[in-house]
Amino acid sequence: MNFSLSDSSNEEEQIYRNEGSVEIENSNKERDAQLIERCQSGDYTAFDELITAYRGKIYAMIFNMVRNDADAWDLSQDVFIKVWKALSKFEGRSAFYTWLYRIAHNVTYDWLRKKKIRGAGEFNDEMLNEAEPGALTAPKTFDTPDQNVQRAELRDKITIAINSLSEDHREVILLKEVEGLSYQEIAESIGSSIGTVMSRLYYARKKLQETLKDNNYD
Amino acid sequence: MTEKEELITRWIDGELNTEQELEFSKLKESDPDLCASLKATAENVREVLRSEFNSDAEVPYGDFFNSQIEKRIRQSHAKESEVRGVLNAGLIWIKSPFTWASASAFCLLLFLSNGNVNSTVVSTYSPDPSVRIVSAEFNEEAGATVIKLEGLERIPDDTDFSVNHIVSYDRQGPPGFVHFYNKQDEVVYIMETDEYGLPNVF
Repeated sequence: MNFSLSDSSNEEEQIYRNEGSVEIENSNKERDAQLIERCQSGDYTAFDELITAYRGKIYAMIFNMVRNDADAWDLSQDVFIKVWKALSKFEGRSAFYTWLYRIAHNVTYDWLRKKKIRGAGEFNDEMLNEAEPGALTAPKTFDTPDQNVQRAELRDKITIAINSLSEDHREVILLKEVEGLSYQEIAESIGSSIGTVMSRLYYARKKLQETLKDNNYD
Repeated sequence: MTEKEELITRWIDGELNTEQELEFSKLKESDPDLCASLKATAENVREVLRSEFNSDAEVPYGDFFNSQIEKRIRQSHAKESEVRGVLNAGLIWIKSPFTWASASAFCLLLFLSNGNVNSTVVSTYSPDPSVRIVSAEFNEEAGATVIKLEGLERIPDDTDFSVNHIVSYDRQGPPGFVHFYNKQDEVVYIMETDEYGLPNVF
């Protein structure tokens, strides 16, 4: 399977897109700051708006880690309840979404840890299962039957490769490639150093590249 | 992770600083194929990951999701206030100057009576000269000391004593000061602890 590398027109498009996303990011920051201030003075409607703004991202992030709709739904709720309780202490030293991801990271890791203890070694087998049929964050479908078959095959390989990564490596590669966070943002979200982030990224990529290479996707 | 691997990783992710860019350009010159191949593979992985994993998703039953969070927060607040209410009541009782005054008076009585609690009150004093103490005796039936006073102003039937009922307190203001509030969130009294730890009420 071939993937096109970016040409100059794509680069221009990328720059234009990046400028647009910076504007959106700034306006989101401004909106968040106002909502947080209202939340801190006890306005629950502001918190409801914050939930609506971030629930999709938090749910998807947790789903990518736990691969189950119901668990992702429950854990996302736990995240927002913790956020409400901790919001009075939020001083805005880091971006709100980085702080939010940090809470989501802690909640998910606690849950995974407990599940691992309960599963007594069966955890890895279970994690290798594919996404539930009909799951909202399940892999996307494509137009032609040929593409569908190829994509399905690739999806299976990628799912296996991603799930075979350790939780630490899987989380970092997803935060980088799917969420598009910078090293600094990832480090803040997971409470590690930039060096650790880079090292995890490097080994996660290496492992994924090997999987793709073995299956002639390179 | 070697320095070379770190440089390549930073380059792939667009995280090189000026100094590292110079170092990397040397590396790229020495092995352009390796750099190009690593970047191409990294981009493949990125493309596949982005097509297979979402960074945003529609939460099933979004409104219900929000309402459940609100419900759980309210339940948790209710539980916390219940516990806090009991603790506050205990704290208020312990910190109340009246509690300490009563306890001191009881100890004094015990001392004076040499253990005989049922004796009559030794002395009484009214700070307001228009109020006269008719009697102050321990009533066995009531199990309490009954003090009869004359000269007090009539208390209207519609007097709302609940305004003095303390429901919360906080320690805002100078150190050592505690504000006590009623149901209407009005300050009923302020307590200060002096250098000997004794309470003064305002």
